[in-house]
Amino acid sequence: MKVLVVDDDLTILEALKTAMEFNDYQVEAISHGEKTVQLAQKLKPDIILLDFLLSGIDGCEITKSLRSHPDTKNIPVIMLSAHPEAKKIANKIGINTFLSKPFELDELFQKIKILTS
Amino acid sequence: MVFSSHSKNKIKDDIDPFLPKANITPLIDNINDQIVALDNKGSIIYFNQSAGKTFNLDIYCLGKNFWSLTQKLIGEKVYKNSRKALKNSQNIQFEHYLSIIKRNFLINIYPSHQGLILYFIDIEQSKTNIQEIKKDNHFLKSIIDQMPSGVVVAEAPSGKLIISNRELKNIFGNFPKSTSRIKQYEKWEAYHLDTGKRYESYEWPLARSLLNGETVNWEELKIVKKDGSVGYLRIRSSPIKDKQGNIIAGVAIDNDITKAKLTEDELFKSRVEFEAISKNSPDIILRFDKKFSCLYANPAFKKTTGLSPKKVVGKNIFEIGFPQTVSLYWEEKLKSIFTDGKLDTVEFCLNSRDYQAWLVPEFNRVNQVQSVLSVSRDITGIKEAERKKDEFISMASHELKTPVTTIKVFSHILRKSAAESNYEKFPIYLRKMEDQVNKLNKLVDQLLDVSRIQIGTLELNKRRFSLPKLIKEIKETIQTNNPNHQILTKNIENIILYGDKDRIGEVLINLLSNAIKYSPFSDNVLITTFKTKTHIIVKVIDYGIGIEKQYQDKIFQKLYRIYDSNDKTFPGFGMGLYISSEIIKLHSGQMAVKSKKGRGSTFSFTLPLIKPKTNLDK
Repeated sequence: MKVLVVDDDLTILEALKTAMEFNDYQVEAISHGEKTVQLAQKLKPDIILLDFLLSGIDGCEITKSLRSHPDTKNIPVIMLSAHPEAKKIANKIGINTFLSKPFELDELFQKIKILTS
Repeated sequence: MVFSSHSKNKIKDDIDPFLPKANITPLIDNINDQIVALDNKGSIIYFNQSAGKTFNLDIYCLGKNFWSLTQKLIGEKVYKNSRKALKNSQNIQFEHYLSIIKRNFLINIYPSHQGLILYFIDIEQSKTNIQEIKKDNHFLKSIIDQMPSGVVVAEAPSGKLIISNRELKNIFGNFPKSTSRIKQYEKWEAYHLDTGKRYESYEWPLARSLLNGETVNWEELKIVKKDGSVGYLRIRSSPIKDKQGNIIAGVAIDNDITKAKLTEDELFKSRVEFEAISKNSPDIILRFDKKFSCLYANPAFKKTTGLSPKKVVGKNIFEIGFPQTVSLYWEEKLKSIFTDGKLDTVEFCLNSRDYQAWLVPEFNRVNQVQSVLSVSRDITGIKEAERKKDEFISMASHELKTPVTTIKVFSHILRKSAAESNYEKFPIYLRKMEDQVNKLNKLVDQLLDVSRIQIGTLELNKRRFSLPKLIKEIKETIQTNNPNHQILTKNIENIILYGDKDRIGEVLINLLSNAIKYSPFSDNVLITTFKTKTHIIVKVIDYGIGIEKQYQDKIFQKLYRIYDSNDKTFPGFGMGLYISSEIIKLHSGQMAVKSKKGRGSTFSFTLPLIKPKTNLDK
């Protein structure tokens, strides 16, 4: 299963990549949010894990772009954030699932399973 | 009429030479006074018409004894005086009341060697007049005496006092009536208010009216009263003139204004104090009357709005430079303060700054709100600080959570990979590490909640949820993590509530965790519910160490921690119960504790039931 992880915090990015690869996911991790749509079009991931606050562009704008392209509009998106307001906003913009940081890895894997089955 | 108008009929022929001759009898006959002439024996020689009428005499009475005819009418006194007059050959004059005809007479008895003449003058009318005058005088005197002002009248030009009333005595003590000259006025002690100099005798208002004809219109004097205390008088004095314009007297009205003056002094003092505070206050001070018109504005108002106090005083709340919405809000608040007399506060925005105003009712003597004083403080700085604090806490929690996330993910991987290898203790240590990370994460959440509660931004995601279902879920989670304790449930009402399910769940978790934490030597914790007409009561009961009474109402306070007898605290920041009780308050419920040291505690909270739909709702 192909997963695209987008987070500007490199340690989280590394931790997530390690953890997911350990669980047999095929992971592409990027810290530049602007490249998300382009990369998603190219890679066609099964799911995208997206941070809310990214440098330069935020998770909401990325989601809107993803939803406006035919190639990417159906890819499920899980938003991950520690920001207190993020959950409220996420629910309004068509995010499939929201997980508050820090989250349980088992819970993340369960959500991925539900969204990709 | 008993006799004819011919007067000669009434005169005996052998008439006495001193009696009126026939040619003057018509004159005497027409006199209104009663005239009777008697001889030495008392026989009637003559009577005029008026006497005939009054004493009931007719022509046949001539020659008859007057005293026998008029015995009842005239009375003994007149007879005796007549004898006396004859005996002494002296005129006698006296007043006598004839009771049968109910009139007073002045009786003159003129004796002669041949007899006497009785001359009656009816003085009834003048007597009545005198009595009327006396009555009037008494009446006037009473009025003057009852007057609440001191009154004094003095003759001109001497200054001799002729009238004074009771109030004047109250002011000056035994007012010296013997004062007969203006010079003597100097014995009364009075001082000029402006210079503090003592009044000379000729400076007294009454003296000036008497001497110069001056009308003194309410002059104020400081005096020394009869008891030695200092008092204040307000005097009006004017001259009384005769038709030619000569001053014949002077009258002075003295009002004792001591009380008013002292009150005025107090008022002046407090006014000076108020103005000093108000003028230098950085807070905006305004006063409004019942019609919401501005009665007062201090200089701070100008600094904020640019409008000088003079321009807004007298203006309505809608005309003092407030935005329409602020004026409407104030009007509503003022209206309710004028009605219920309760102090209130309002927050509002003016020229991009935030203010908080205290609206204070001001009462009159009959306890009605006569005005409302408002003190508005610029709280922009405080608001800004609150906003920054909130921002900081949000940012801090975000920043704290990012590394926590990383640690969690890595420890998770380590635990999973260690389990597959042979490092037996790795999973245990890593589980402990994760527990601590979770605890740290919870603290960050709680800090954020406390901050939100304080600034009123804790939001609830309210929806319908099943209470027994929530209790079951929470019970299972807590039970799994605490296998050494037995969580029991009893009488759980099967009801649907409306509220933030996650937050209510947090409250339950908090209460259950506490119950377990503080029950190291007992196994059971009980959850039970009880339904009233309006509320559901949820109780969490433990049989642990309990809480001393002195701490029981404090444990819901923010950051309150209980110290034991060794000055050690129980673990925790003191945020859990504070947050829980605030969450319950936000749901219009209440939280309470009952506990006995060593016997355990019962924590309970109430939540309102969903009101059944009425016909109106449908």
